[in-house]
Amino acid sequence: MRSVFFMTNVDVSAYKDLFVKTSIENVVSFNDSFEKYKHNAQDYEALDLMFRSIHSIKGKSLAIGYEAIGELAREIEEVLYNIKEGRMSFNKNLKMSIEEGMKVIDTFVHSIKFDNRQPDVQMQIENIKKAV
Amino acid sequence: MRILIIEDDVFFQKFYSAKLKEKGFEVDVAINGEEGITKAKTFHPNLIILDLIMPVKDGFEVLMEVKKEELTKEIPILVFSTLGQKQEVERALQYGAVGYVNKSFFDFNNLLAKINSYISK
Repeated sequence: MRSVFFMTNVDVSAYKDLFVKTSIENVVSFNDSFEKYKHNAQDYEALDLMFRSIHSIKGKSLAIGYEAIGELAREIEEVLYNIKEGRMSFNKNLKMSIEEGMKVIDTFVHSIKFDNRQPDVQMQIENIKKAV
Repeated sequence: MRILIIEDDVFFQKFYSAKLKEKGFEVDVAINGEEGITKAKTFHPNLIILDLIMPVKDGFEVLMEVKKEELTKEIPILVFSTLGQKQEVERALQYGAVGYVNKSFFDFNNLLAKINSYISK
């Protein structure tokens, strides 16, 4: 497992709690903004907050060794980046596949304390790619 | 030696802050770009570690403002990157950043080496 904590010999448990706490905040922030953006595709503030939230989840997940979640977050981040840049529009399939992806991330960050195993996210990643 | 971390994510703020303090640095944290610009002037850091994606003002706006101010333009700035941000990092280097660190996969000793090399220049 590639992880900054492996390299630095850091007390993982201390940072895991912080990861859980801040990731849950990011998920809530993403979902609240996602609701707004679904109803108004001109709400660029909501889009930006979604982007920053998933960007944070991606970075932390990769840093702490939750690579599957990091990869899924990266996929969502890439889509939002392209929407921000005007290269892509927010179609129905994208909405559904992103929602699906976020449910997996949401479930994972809430369940880490009890179950550290990463979910298989290949299907969610494939669905996002297909929707693009 | 003073290091200013400009980073909106609490996880990375606390992690990097703690690790750098352990190594004897005096560390301050700014939670967004605007606060970062203010603290660059008031904290007088020897080096800034800067996230590119932040609220209020992003890393590029911080770079532009810090690099044009007489008081702060000489402060070396390392940008945080995560995988997939290659173009953004190149842009940051063009704006005056001296280097970058990947905040997800990296070697803390490598970060320290970069900090020490830029501070001593």
